[in-house]
Amino acid sequence: MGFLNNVFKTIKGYGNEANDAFVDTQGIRIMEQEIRDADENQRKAHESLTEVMAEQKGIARKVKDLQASVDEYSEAIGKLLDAGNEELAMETAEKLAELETELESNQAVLDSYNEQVKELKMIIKDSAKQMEALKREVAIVKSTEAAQKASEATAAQFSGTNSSLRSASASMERIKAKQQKRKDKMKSARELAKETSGGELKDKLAEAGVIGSKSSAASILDRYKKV
Amino acid sequence: MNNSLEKVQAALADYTAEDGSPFNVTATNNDDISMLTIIREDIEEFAILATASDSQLLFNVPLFDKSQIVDGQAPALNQMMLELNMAMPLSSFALTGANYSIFGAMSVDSEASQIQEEIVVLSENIMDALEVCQNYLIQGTSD
Repeated sequence: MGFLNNVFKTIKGYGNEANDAFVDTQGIRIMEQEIRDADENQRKAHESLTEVMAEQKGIARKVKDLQASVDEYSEAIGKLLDAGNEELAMETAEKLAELETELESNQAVLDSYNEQVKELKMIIKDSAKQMEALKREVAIVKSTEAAQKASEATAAQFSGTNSSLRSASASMERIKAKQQKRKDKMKSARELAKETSGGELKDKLAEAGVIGSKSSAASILDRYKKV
Repeated sequence: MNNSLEKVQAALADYTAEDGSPFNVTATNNDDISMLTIIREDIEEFAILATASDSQLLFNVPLFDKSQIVDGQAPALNQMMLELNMAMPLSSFALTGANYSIFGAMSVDSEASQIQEEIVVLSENIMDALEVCQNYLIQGTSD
């Protein structure tokens, strides 16, 4: 089964049925345990892959050697027949028949090893993807929770209440208003710049709150005293 | 802290969006979680939460939860999000449990400049995403 299918089942499996929210601590703990188990399985799968690959290598070497012998004997038979040595050619052919049979059966074993290695690699890759996906899911849930707690704490600090969920649309309106205010401020600064010049402009900008109040010798001295 | 998150933190130090808004980054590290809270000054209500797994950096911005959707409007909202996913540059809509968010994911091997681009674009997508969702949300007056 594809890894996404498994991930979906796991997430749904630990979800809180009541509000469809995957946020309860118990669910996360179980899922983290599952990730650890999967990690362990992954380690074991790697071990068996290593073993299978070692065997695969051994068989591959054997197949290569057998193939070399088959080539060698085939060539010899040709030469013997050319030289008219039919008796030795027959003997060689008998040996070649044995070798070819052995080659064939070893090749079949090698093919199955190759197939097994491919399969194991796929399984390992899929389960790694699944684990990563679950880890991300857990991280998202935890980070969202942590951020919510932090913003609730901030809200409580300012309003004295542990106010419930922040309203997204209200927040958006606030941000828009803030951005508009900033734009208006910049716009009025530009307009003022057009109308006035020099010291008069600075005064007006300070008055509009766009820049700080006028710099004076006293304020500069203050600045140095603070350092 | 996780190496990948340190890389993100370094990439955002002294970095500002085009309009001059800086990104304030706070790291949280405990047994339970390693994360960065990235806040763009002009939209501080919506934080970008950065986490890292073995191969991926994940930047997630929780927008609202299911309780804020107008009754019966969830299917229409979900469909709209799917239909707009490809139109939204570098980010996608997501639903984790009851929380709707937009997020961007990238390889842990990403360069600092790519991380900066990801964060800036994601932060620019926040207001656009909220705006398009607003018709499906219960209108709030204040917290």
